[in-house]
Amino acid sequence: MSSQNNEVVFRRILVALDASHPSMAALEAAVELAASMKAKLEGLYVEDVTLLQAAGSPVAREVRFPFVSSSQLDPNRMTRQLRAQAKQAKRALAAACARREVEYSFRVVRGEVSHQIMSAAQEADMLILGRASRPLVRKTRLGSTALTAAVQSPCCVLLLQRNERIAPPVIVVYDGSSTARRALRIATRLAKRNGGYLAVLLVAETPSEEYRLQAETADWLRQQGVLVRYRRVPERSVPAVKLVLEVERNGIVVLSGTVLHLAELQRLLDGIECPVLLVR
Amino acid sequence: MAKARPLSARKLCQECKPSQFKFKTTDDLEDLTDVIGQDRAVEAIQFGIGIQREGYNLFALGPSGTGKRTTIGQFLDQKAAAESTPSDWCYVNNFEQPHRPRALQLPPGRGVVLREDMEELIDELRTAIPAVFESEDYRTRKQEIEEEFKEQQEEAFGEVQKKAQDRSISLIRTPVGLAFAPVREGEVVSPEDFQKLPEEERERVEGEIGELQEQLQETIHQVRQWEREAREKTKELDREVAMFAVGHYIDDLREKHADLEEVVEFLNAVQEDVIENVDEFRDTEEPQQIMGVALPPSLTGEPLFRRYQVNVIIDHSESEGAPVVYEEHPTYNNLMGRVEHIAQMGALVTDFNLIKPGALHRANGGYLILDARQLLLQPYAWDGLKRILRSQLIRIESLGQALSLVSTVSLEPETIPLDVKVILIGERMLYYLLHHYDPDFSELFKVEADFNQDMSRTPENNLLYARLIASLVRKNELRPFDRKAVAQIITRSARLAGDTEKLSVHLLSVTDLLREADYWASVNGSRIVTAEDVQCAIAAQIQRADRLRERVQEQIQRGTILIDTTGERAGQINGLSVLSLGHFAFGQPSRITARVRMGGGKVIDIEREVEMGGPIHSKGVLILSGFLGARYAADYPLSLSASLVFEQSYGGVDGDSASMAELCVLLSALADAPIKQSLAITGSVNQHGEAQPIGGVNEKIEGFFDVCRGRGLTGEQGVIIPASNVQHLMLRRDVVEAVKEKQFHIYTMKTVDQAIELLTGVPAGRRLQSGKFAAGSINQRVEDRLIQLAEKQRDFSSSSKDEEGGKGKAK
Repeated sequence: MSSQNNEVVFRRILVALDASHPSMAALEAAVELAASMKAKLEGLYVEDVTLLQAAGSPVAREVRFPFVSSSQLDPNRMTRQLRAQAKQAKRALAAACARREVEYSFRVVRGEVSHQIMSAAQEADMLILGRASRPLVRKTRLGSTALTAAVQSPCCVLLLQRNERIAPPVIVVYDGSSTARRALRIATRLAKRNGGYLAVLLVAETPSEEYRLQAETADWLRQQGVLVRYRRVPERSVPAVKLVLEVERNGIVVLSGTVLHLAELQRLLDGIECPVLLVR
Repeated sequence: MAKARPLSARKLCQECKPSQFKFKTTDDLEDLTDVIGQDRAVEAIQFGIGIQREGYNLFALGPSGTGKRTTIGQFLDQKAAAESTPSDWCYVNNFEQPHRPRALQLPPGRGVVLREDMEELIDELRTAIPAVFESEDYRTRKQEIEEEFKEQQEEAFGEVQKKAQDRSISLIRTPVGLAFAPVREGEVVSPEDFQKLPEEERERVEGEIGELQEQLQETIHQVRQWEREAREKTKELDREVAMFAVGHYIDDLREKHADLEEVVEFLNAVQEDVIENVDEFRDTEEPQQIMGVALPPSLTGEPLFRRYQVNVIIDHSESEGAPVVYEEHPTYNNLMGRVEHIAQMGALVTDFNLIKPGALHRANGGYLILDARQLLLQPYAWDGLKRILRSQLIRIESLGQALSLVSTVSLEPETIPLDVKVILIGERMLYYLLHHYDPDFSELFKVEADFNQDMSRTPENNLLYARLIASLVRKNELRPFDRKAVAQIITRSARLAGDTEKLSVHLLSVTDLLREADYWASVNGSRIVTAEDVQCAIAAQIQRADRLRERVQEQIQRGTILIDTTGERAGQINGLSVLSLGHFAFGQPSRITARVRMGGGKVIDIEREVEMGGPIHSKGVLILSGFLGARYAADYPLSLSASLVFEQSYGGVDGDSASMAELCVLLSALADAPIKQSLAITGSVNQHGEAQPIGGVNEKIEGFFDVCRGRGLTGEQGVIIPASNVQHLMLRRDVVEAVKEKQFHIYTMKTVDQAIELLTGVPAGRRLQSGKFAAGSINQRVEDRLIQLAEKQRDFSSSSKDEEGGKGKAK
C-alpha cells in the first residue's frame, strides 16, 4: 500500500434529486459528505420525458393522490408538476447547503432520467442517489435509475435508503485489486470521520490469501490510526458477502465495483439495506 | 343597733400557714398527675372524648392560662395511646379521569410500602420493557408482520403491473400518483404514433387502461386495508409483549397486596395503562420539549412515570395509637389540605402528586385540637371546618374553587371519610357568642368543658396545690421551693383569686411567679427558693406594673387630686374605685360630693348627664331615689333636687360599688351632718338600704391605706366595707400590721344606717312608735329636711299657680 499515498479527492459531488423521500435522504448525506470533503455539490433534477410523453397520450390515465379518483393525464399539468418538484428540490438543496456552508449548484435537465444522470456523472467525482425513487412497493429493491448508475456510472456511486445517514461502522470489501485499494482508502477516510472504526472484509479463498491481503494493508492502516477488524469472506459470492455483512450490521459498505460480477452485484444490492458506496 | 366595731387583724388576711405542711422542699413532694380544681371540666372532657357519636365535639372554655390545652393534651395522650392506629391514606392517579385522583385507604404502614413497591416497579419496567422490545424474538415477529404485508402489497401491485405489461401498457409513477400509458418496445407511445393506430386498437387500449385503472384503485384500497391490519397486528403484538414484560412484575405486587381490593384494582389499572402507553417506556431518552426548550427533569423528566407514583399523604408507619394533632395555624388550607402547583413554562400545572394533607387528614381517626380564636380569625376556616364535620368527608378544594371564583381545571381529589373529634379551645365569650349566633355550633360542639379560674381552699387542696407547685417546679426545671415559699405562693394565689376561700388555678400566673421567684433565688445565690424570694418576685411584679398607681398616689399627696384624710365635711365623702390595667389592678380614693336643693324629686347623676357614667352606675344612683322616697316622707312628694358627682374624674365611671358612698353623702347633705374624711367607704346598696358586696375590695382598701400612710397614719383612719366582703380579704401585710397596731381600721357594715353612723358619729336613728325617727338622729334630720322641702314646694307651687293661673301644672 506504500505506493498509494496519493489521496482520493472528491471535488464535485453530483446528487440526483426528485424531491422524494429517498432523494432527500441522499441530499442530507451528500451535504454532509461534501462538507467534510470540501467538495462542491451539484444538484440535478431531471424532468422525465417518459412522463411528459405519457401525459400527451390521449388514453393515458392517472390515479392521483389520494387514489380515489382517476383522470386523463394532461401535458400542461404534468409540466407544472415537474417544475414544482424541481423548485422543491432546489429549495431543499439550498437550505441544506446553507446549513453546512457548502458550495452548490443546481440544474434542471429534460430527458430520460438514467441517461441524463449518467451523462452528468461523467464530469463528477461521485454520484449520490436514492436506491429507489418513491417505490410502489415498500420492499427495498433497487430502482431502475439506481441500477443503471450502479452498473454504468463512470464515477463512485453512493446509494442510500430512505431516512438514512452515513453512520459507523464503515465496512470495506477488499480483494487486493487496485479499485479495492482505492475503496480501502476512501473507507479509511470515512472511518476516521465516523468513530475511527473500520471493518475490512478480506475476500480470500484460502487462509494464506487472507494472510497476504491482511499483511498488505495492515501497516498502512496502522499509520492511519483507525481501529481495524478483519473478517474473511471465503468466496466471491453474494451469500458469502451478505453473511459477513450481516454480522457487522448497519454502517456503510464501501465496495469496489470489481469485486462481483454485475448480475451478482445487483443481487447483493437488492439484498442489503444499508448505504453502499461503489468505488470505481 | 350595735355599734360597728373594726375587724380584727386576723380576719384581714388568711395566710397559708407553712406549719400545716410536713415536707421540707418541693423535692419531697410527688408529682401531681391529676388536674386539680377542674372537676367539672375534667368530667366533661372524659365524657366528650369517650362518647363516639356525631356532633360530640368538645369546646374547652375558660380564661386563658387555666391549663385547658395542657389538661386536654394530657387526657388525649392517655386515651389516644390505647386506641387503634388509623389507616394510611394515599392519592393515586385515576387513569380514567386524571383530574379526579383516587384515594386509597391502607392499613397503617402499608402506604409507604406501596409507594416503594411502585417506585421499584417503575424502575424495573424502565429496563424490562425496552429489553423485551429489543429482543430478537420480538423483532422477528414484527418483521414477520411487516414482511407479510409487503408481500401482499407486492403481489397485488405486481399483478396489476403484470396485467398491464401483458397488454403493452406501462404503469408509471407521476409526481402525484400513478398513471397507465401504452408502450411499444419499452417506450411510451407518443401521441402522434398513437393516433396512427387503427381505431379498433385505440379503443382496445383505452378500454384496457380503464379496466387497469379500476383494478389499481381497488388494489390501493385493498393495500390500505392490509396496512391497517398489519398495524393492528403490530399493536396486538406490542400489547402481548408488553403484557409479558409487565405482567409478572405486577403479579408479584398483586399477590403482595391481595388483601386490599382497592390496591389490586389500582394495580390492574396501572397494568392496563402501561400496556396502552408502552411506547413511552420504549423511548425515554428524548427530553421533553416545549417550543424547542428542553424542560427541567424535576417535573417533566418523568411525566409518564409520575402518574404511576403513590402520593402517601398520611403515613402511620411510625405511629402508635390514634393521632393527636394540634394545629397552630388553622388556615383554610392548613386544615383541609391543598393542591400545590408547579410553574412550568409560565403555566401552573399540577397532578395528584402535589396534593398535600391538612390537619384534618393528619388527625383523621384521632383528635384535632384547635384554638377557637385563631380558627375564627382565619377567613373561611370556620365555615370549611363545619362543612366537613357535617358531611364527615374531607374534600380538598382550593378557596377559589370553594367560592366558585376560579373555574380553571384543577384537581378534584376523591373525598376521604372523616372520623375525628375536634376540640376547640377558647374563651368563654367566644363560646357563648358562637352558641348564640351560629345555629350549627350547638349541633357540632355538644360538649362544653368549662374551666374554673379558682378552686376551693381546703387543707387537702392546699396540699394538692403544693404538689401542683412541685410538679410545675420540676417541669420548668426550677430550684426547689421550701415550705414557706410554697405557703407564700398559696397565699398569693388566694389573693389572685380575690377570695380567702379560693385558690387561683390560673396556672400561667402561678408558673410565672414560680419562674420569677426562681430568678430572684438565683440573684440571691440561693439553691432553694425561699419565701423572701417569692416576696421579691411579687414585689417586683407589682413594681413593674405600678407606675400609674404611683403617679396617682403622688398626685394625691401633692394635692392635685383633692382627697381629705382628716377633718369633717358635710356632702363630701371618700369613695373607692379600682383601676385595672393589664394584669395589674389598684385602688384609688375618689371624692364624691352631693348638693341638694328643692326640686322635682330627682337625683341627678352628673356622670350620666355627661355620658361618663356607665349603665350600672346610673342604676345605682336611681336606686338611691327609690330608697329615699320609700324610707323618708313616704306621704310627701319627694321634692328635692340632688346632684352627685365623682370629683376630678376625667374618665368613665362604671359599676355600682360607690352607691353606698353616694347614699351616705346624700344623707349627709340632706341632714347637713359632716362626714369624717378619715374614712373611706365602698359597697353597693339596694332599695332597702342594705349593703351588698363589691369586687376588688383588697385593692380599694390598700389604695386608701397608701394615701393615709403617705400622709402619716393618725389612728383614726379606716375603710368601711360591706360585711359580706370580709371573706374576700387578702390584704397586704403592711395593712394587716397597721390594723394590728390600731393605726388603721377596717369596719364592716350591713346597712346604710351602720355606715352613716360610722361616718358621722351621729346615731342613724330608728323610727319610733310615734312614726317619727328618734330626735337628733340622722334619719330624723333627713326626713325633716325632705318634709320641709316638700312643704316649701307646695307653698311655692300654689303661690305660683295663683299668680300664673295653673301654669305651674307641670310640676
